[in-house]
Amino acid sequence: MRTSLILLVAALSASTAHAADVYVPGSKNDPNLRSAQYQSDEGRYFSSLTELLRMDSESKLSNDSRWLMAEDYLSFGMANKAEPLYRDIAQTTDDQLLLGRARLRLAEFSYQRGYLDEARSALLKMQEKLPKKLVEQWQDLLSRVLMAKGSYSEAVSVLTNLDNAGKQSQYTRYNLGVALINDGRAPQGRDLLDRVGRMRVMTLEDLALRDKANLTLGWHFLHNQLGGSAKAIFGRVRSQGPYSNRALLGLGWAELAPVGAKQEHSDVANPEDQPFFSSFSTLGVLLRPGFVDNDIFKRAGLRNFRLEKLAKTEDAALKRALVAWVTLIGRDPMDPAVQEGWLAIPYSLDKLGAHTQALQFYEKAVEQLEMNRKRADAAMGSIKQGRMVDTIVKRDVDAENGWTWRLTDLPDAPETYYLQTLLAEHRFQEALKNYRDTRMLAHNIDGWQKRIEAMEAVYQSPDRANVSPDVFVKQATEDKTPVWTDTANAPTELRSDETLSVPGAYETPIAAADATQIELAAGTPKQVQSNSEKVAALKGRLVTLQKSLALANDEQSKILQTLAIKELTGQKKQIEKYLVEARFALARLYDRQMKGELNDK
Amino acid sequence: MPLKSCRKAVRALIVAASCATGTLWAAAPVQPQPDSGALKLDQTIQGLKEDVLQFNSDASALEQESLYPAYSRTNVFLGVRLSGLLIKEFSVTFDGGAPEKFTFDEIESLAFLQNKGLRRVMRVNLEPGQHKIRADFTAQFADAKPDAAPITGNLEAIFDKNYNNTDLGLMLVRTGFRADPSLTLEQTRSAR
Repeated sequence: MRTSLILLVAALSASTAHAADVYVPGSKNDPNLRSAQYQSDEGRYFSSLTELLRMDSESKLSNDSRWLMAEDYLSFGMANKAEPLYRDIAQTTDDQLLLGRARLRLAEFSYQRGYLDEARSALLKMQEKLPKKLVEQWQDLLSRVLMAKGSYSEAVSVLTNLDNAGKQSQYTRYNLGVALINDGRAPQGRDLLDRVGRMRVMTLEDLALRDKANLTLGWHFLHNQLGGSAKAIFGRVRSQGPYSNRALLGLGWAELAPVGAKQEHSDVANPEDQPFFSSFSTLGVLLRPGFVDNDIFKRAGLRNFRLEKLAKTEDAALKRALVAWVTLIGRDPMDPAVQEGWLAIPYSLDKLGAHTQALQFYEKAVEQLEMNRKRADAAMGSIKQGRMVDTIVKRDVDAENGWTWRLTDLPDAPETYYLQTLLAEHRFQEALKNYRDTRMLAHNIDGWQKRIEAMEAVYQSPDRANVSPDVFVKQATEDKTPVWTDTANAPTELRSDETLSVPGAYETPIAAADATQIELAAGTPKQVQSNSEKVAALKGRLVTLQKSLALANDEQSKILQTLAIKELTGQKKQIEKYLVEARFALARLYDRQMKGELNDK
Repeated sequence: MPLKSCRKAVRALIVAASCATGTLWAAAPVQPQPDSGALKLDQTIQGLKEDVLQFNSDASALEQESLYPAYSRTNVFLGVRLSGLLIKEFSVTFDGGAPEKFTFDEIESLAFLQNKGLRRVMRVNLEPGQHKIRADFTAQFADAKPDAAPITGNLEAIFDKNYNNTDLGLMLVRTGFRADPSLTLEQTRSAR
């Protein structure tokens, strides 16, 4: 027993904490600052800022702390507070790279939030001192800002003036391609999109970009009556992917569109361009020889047929179009591309002379479209009741990542499917972030209600007075070395002064120094609040904030609803238009049937 | 893959891809921008965020003063100073009392390693004088094999709680070249 006690004491004394190290508040070693840093690294910008503000109220913050504060403000979607802080720090630092990155982030925020003029002006302003390392990022962002403003020609200049195409990312090249086409320089734009559409892929994101470039280029060719070129491009899109449905639809129409002239490469073509290669299954394989003739009618549930009055080439083209569309209609019926596919099939069948089958397909199309109209109505109801936005942001309700929050997936509700395009737009995403933030803030404020009550209880408790005054004396005097015991660092020093006169040797009395003027503070003295008064004041502020947050949340929700309703109304009109077309075609076919004009071959 | 989950995956990708590039279709009209009402509301919300932050800062300072007076306030911070070491569980107890337990998810574990941040794991009231602290941890290196046994350890120490705010930093470090990860205790105080 005695031995173990000795061992325990020895062990304990070995791990006794050393004397406390002293840190300057707000400095790099302040654990509170490092705790704020941890919260920021965790994505809890709100908590980090709360800590930093508390520190700021107690002592002057170091540049490190202020930098962290600026970063947190911006990440939490408060560019108005971040910008002056960055500007202040810029006066005292020479790190242009760090400052450049911060300015780019600020401009990105302005761009995404829709402050396009501010973003443009900030980017042009930083051009002079732009570090070389940031040139491509700067070009990319400025070009996106200009494109969002519709200034395609200016965007093209920004991306081509510096002659650094080799260093630009594939995203930038894609944007340049789009800008060139919109600026009327279609051949150059097509070449660039074609190159992005054939790029080597390393990640899933690359694959999506390559598909997107091919889809964009394919539809561009189709709109310009260049079916032959469009067909090859659509064939590069993966058969399963975010752009495959629209590509399938386009592939079908490309078969029926005029072939058009062969595309010449423009002068921006790169000699290092790779031929298209993909290890993924692409839509091109749908139209491989032998596959069309043997399978298509079987897969569509049709018997084989041939209408003699159609040219052989047109017949083959229609069959190939059917291959793409039959594949398409097996996919998600809520996708507008699939809905259009349901109309495209009977249209082709009618053209091929398979009138009965066309009639059957139009009937099925009406059924599908009616179902979609009902779904769209249900989605509209969900949006109007405010359920949609709540469903989207249901998870991470207390996440404090503000502007850096990303919508990574969508809940499986019909409205979110109809609104995919809108959901990807910055105006919706940023509004959604603000909605989330106001909700999180309201939740935070509500949580303070109980905490304030706990504080109140402390001040009302009679036990509070029981702290011995001795404790406060020790608290005030602890860790302070009396000057008389520390001679080395004593602020005063005794020395003999040989210039002093002996007493009574003065000719005139020394003039009394001017009495220090004591100025009385004007007005009412600043009121000192006791802690219990401060608690009462907090309660008042809490109620005001609750009301303001509820109002802002409501307003933000209405903005989101309006955007969603407008988008869904557009889609519903499209469904109705398809329905009218399908019913009209049906009526026409019935009419011809009645007249005995339909003779299936 | 069932249709439902396949659809979900695809939808996630569309959002990610279109956000990355900004424009959705070439030759399409310019992406619509928020109207002035939406921008005005954004300004209002930025202002409100400022108010709520100030409220939180004031309220938490007052709360600290009310519930954790400086003469008894003891903050415990945790830090990891070993690259690649992901802390999973941690517990701390004073004077043989019930331990406070913490578990960390991946984001939290990684945050320890990014910028030498410290996480304040607890704030307690302790009378001035000597106290015993015990802390236990469970961690694992990020590149450890899936079946590797977790790294565990503990620290017991005695410290002096003075009459002012006391900050205790528990650091997960390696004390020697081949030593196992272990906890050390640092006590700091403000110069003010």
